[in-house]
Amino acid sequence: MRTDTNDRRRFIEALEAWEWVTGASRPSTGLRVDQAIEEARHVWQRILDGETDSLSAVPSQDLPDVLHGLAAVISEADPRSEAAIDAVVRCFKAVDALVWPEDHFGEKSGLLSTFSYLVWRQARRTGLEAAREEWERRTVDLALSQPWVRDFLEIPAQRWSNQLTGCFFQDPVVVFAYRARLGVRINLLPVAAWREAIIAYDWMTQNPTPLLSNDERHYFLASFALTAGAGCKHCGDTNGAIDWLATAERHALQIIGSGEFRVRITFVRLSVAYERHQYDEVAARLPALLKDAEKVKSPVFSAKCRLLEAMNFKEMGEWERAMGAFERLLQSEGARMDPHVRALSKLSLAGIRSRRRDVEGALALVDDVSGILADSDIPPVRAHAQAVRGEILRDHGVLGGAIDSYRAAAHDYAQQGMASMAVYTALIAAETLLVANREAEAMSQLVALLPVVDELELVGEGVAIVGLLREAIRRSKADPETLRALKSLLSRSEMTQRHDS
Amino acid sequence: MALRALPGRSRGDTDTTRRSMSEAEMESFYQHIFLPLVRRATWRHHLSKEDARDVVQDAFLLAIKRIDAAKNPRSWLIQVVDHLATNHQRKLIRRRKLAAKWGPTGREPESLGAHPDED
Repeated sequence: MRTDTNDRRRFIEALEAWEWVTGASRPSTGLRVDQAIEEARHVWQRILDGETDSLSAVPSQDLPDVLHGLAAVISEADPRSEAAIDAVVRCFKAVDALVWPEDHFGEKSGLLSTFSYLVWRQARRTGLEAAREEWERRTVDLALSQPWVRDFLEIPAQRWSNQLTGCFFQDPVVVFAYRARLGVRINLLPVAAWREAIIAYDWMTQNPTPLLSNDERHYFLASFALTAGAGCKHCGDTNGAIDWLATAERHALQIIGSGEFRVRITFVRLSVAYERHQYDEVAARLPALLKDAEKVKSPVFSAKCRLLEAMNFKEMGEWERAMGAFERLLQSEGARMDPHVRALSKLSLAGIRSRRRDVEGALALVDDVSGILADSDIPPVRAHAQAVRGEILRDHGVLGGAIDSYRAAAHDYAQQGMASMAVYTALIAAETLLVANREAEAMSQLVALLPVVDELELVGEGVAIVGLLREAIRRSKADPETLRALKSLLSRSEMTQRHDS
Repeated sequence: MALRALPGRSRGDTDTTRRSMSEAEMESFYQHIFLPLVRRATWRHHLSKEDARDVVQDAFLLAIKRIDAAKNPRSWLIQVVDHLATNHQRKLIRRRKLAAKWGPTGREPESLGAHPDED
């Protein structure tokens, strides 16, 4: 603590001294921009010509400006050949090898992240998928190694000021890191990521980003729209998802080398069709997607597509094929790399085993998933695992345990803001309560769901609630308190409808 | 990266703090604090070196007044430079638009293009 205070004091003293000495003068600022760019052009040519020590001719005091200039020259040159992209990689390596004394502001890591981003961007534009995948990871790591980038990304998008966002969103590396972070968060915290993607999308459409090229701007807009679409899908809003996917496709038209991006859009589209129970459509379009997914050269993405295929087999009742597909998937590199894919595969397999009356095998798979989640917590999958456990227990008559698991799942979904999933799971819990002859509990649980169903306009769930309530009332002496609450709620709802009409 | 030129004012220095800063420390400050921030404002925000210098000097003045509350002075300073540079860039864009609309030729003056340098 004392060291920090001393360091701060010395720093402020240095600032005061600097201001005292230079306040009325104009300290030299090194190479002019045009000089740096000219020198950078020579360096770039030497690198393209294959010179190994192309930076040695640059005087050391000019080197930082020339390197910044080199990044600008490469960005503008837009090199597309493999040889030229290799030359950008050599630039990255040359910077990486430099000793940068007293780098208080992370200038070296900033330059490295810029060169890394350029390799990624050019690989993307050229369709070099393996390089794109590798340099994507590297760029994100380098961006996050800079404390101010990390600090910005820690701020929830809801709290961004226009000024702050304007500062950070001028830098493609920062937008890139933000986009990558959203891509991870969409599986962990889908509702939060979905909202943030919409805020980022809106900000970017409403504000100029003069330092991004047209291709970059549309790439990021398409990425945010795609994340928003995936978020809608996670939250059960499939219409919203389709709208956002159309927006992503519109922006993708402006992206150079948009093949990989379109494959990702198709994947989310088919996931939405799956959520809508359009299994025949998914089955018809999956072969083409799987073929394209191989070209993306991302083991995790391929695994996600294979997971969709296996889940679709399961829903179409092709259990043998589904089991084979899940077993193969669990052996794949992508599944080994991605706990999300592993966990969902095991839960789906557990569902099939349960239907084949292998309760122990099914519950063992759910326990495996608990082990996966202990290492890497994925809240929506945790909720899903509870729901699957509930389903297995219910199918085998362990009603008390099933009700507890369903309630835990509904609670976890609600905690994640996944309201429609929470309602759906709570409905099944209420149905199970009825099966267990616990009508009064079922009724109070169903009545508690009505306001959410009303607010989210979940028509299907509303109809189910009415049906279940009717059944509960028929089978029991209804609890008078519950009936009063129901009557009051229904009359309020009726009044609202009259008012709206 | 040696100090090339550090023009300064020569004043009778009576302040203890200021006297305690040696030439070597001033040079180190120039090399490791001033120049990196100027380069950041220049290359990240597309300002000319002249404008970047003004932005950094303004950031230093602000820092002298307000930096006490900051946890990490360097992190704080970099944020101030980024904010001032963004504001400066917006001003340039506004001026460029006005010049394009109301200027004598109705064309954008060259000096207001990207990365101008008037040194």
